[in-house]
Amino acid sequence: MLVVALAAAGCPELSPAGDVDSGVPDDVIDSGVADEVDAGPPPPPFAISTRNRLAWKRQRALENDLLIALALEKADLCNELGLYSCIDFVHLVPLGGNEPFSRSQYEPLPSPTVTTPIALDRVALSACRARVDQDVAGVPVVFASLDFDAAAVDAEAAAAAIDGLGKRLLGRALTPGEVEEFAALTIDDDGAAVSPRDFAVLSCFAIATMSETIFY
Amino acid sequence: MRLLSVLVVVTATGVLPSALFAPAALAKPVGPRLACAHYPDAPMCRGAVVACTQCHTAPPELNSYGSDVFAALEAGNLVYEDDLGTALLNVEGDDSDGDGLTNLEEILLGTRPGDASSFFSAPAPPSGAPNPGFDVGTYDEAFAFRRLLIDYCGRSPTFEEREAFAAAIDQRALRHAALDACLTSSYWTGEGLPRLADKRIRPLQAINIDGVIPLADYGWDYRLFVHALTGDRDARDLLLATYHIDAAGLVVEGVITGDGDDQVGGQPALVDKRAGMITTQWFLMVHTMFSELPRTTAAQAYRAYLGQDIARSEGLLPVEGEPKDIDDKGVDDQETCIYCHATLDPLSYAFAHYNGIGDSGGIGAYNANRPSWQPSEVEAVLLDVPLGDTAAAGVTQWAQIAANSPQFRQNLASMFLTHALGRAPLPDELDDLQALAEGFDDVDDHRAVRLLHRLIDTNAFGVP
Ligand code: HEC
Ligand code: HEC
Repeated sequence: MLVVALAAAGCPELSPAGDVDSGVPDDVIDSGVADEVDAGPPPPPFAISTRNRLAWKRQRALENDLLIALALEKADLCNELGLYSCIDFVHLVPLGGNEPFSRSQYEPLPSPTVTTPIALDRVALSACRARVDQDVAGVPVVFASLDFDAAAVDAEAAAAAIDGLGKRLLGRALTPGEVEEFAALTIDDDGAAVSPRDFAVLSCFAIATMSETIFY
Repeated sequence: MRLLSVLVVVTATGVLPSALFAPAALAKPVGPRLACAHYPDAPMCRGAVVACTQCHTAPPELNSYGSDVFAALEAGNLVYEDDLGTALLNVEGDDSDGDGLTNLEEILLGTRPGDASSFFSAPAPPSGAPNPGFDVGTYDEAFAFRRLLIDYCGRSPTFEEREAFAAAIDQRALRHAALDACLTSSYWTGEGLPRLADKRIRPLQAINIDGVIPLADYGWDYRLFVHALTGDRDARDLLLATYHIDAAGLVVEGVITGDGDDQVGGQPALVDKRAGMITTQWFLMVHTMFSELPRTTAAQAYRAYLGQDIARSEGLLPVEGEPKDIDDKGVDDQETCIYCHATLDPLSYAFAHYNGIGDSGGIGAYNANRPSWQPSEVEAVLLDVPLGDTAAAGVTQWAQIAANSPQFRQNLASMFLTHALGRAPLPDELDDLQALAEGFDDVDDHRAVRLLHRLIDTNAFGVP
């Protein structure tokens, strides 16, 4: 899956993660010939990493990146009952942290678990919602191109919002192919227009949960 | 390629106290020492002696490699203690665990020859048109820049920072400047380093609740750990510091008075009996507790600062005539206990002169008369080096030997490289690890910050 994550960074397709995992234990590197195991996405038309060695971006960097990217305060991120930070407490372990003092966890998990994506989704969604709420209520910081009172999002405004999100959340300009993929979020499955507010949350969430944001 | 066909005798510390070379009584547990005498340059013997699990599933059960070694001994009519090297040589070309690599290949790579799930083949070089996002297969400045910001600043570079980096003429200089900034950031000093300290300090909130400190305050431990590994400071202060760092971040010399008879929250050990992290009140309280011979304390010091976990049969350098079982715990059982305790007990004697819980003079205070035995009845030994009069010196000599050992620098380099990569280094990264460890004394002048500057230039760190 890490091969795909690395390749995706320069790839016009939004590659789904998780296809090339050969099932070999983490501490053993496979020979690099496992590509035929399943069909998966077609290989990209350029050299990809053969090392498969990306690291897991853990909870504090994830939090800082979301706060910086979306100009939020820590309190804006998901908090259970308004008391327990998702990152520092509720989802600390699946997000890669450890609590030595009260829970005697002296080391973090070596690699993500099945609940890591759920926790990531939750935190990212809370961040995106908070940003959109604030942009709707006051002077917009991230979604200045959107008219939140309109019924739909026009293509130009969508592209501008997506471009801004890519730079903020991934630190890079998205490829034209990626912009096009995300622009499809302006229309729902039935072909109806998505409200600017929903589009803002969805596009932010989609970009904030790309494998690129938690592997480096 | 043949690594060594003659038996060269070196010990883990490079010195050779032949008297310590174990005789027949310790026949089998000397396996690690003999194996590393045969393969002194192999990864498994760098700053370490190999674990029993090289040849055993759990002693005395042999794994597939150990069985082949045994068969070679039998076939050649060889004696284990004298001829193990020959037997090892005779099985070098076999693939005992059937994972496709010969035993010698595995020994050279640093994988386990008796474990089919442990193997390695180097990744093929990337092929195809240039990757638009990464310099795959070679050092990628931008990739390394992002990685170092995440590792040491706890955040990714912003779009603007990445653009500025891409446009920079001297990217390497910019990268090192960024590292300097990160290493003084509140992330690194307040979270990055403290998380590396957790398993070394082993805090427990139950004994330190919301500022109420019933027994000892591990805040001192975290502050000293961070202090020794930042700035222009000698990282050996982890074991050699005679000072402490107060809550304001200032160096405090002298005894620090705590509350009540137990000196709770203070640092009662006398300055000339101090040895950094391993004589703090917290360390001695939580590990020694009520033990007259504090084996847990010594084992944790050995594990945390020399990277040798005796409980996992690492770092076993048995001492002749040990264990004496000086406190009658039955550790001299020949079948089961001696193979660890012949190393661990001599490691522990020095710590017996510091109070645990309930001794008079305060928790963690130096107390020459604490153990019930006479100093002349035991001899403390660390890494094959006798420690002399520990009743007078405490663990200061222990700490001197430890802080200047290959194990110490290997452990530090390994701690930082493992943290930076988010996993243990792989076989093709072990040369980077070795270079980091070996340069720690001369190149880095024992500064962790300098080690980290070298670390971010390694291929292990910067090649995607
Ligand atoms: C280099 C390989 C190797 C290493 C490392 C090694 N052993 Fe062994 N060990 C053997 C072999 C081979 C035998 C069988 C030899 C024999 O019985 O003559 C053996 C036998 C033993 C036995 C059984 C003794 C008996 O007489 O039946 C014990 C106990 C044992 N080892 C303990 C250990 C311990 C403890 C360690 C780690 C400190 C260790 N070994 C490390 C290879 C090794
Ligand atoms: C695999 C190595 C190993 C073997 C074998 C082993 N021990 Fe230990 N023992 C240790 C270590 C390491 C510690 C220190 C505690 C720790 O760090 O886990 C220890 C600590 C102890 C202690 C002190 C516990 C305390 O709380 O102070 C006693 C007593 C002890 N061992 C007895 C034995 C006896 C009896 C046997 C044989 C039946 C034995 N051990 C076999 C590694 C070993």
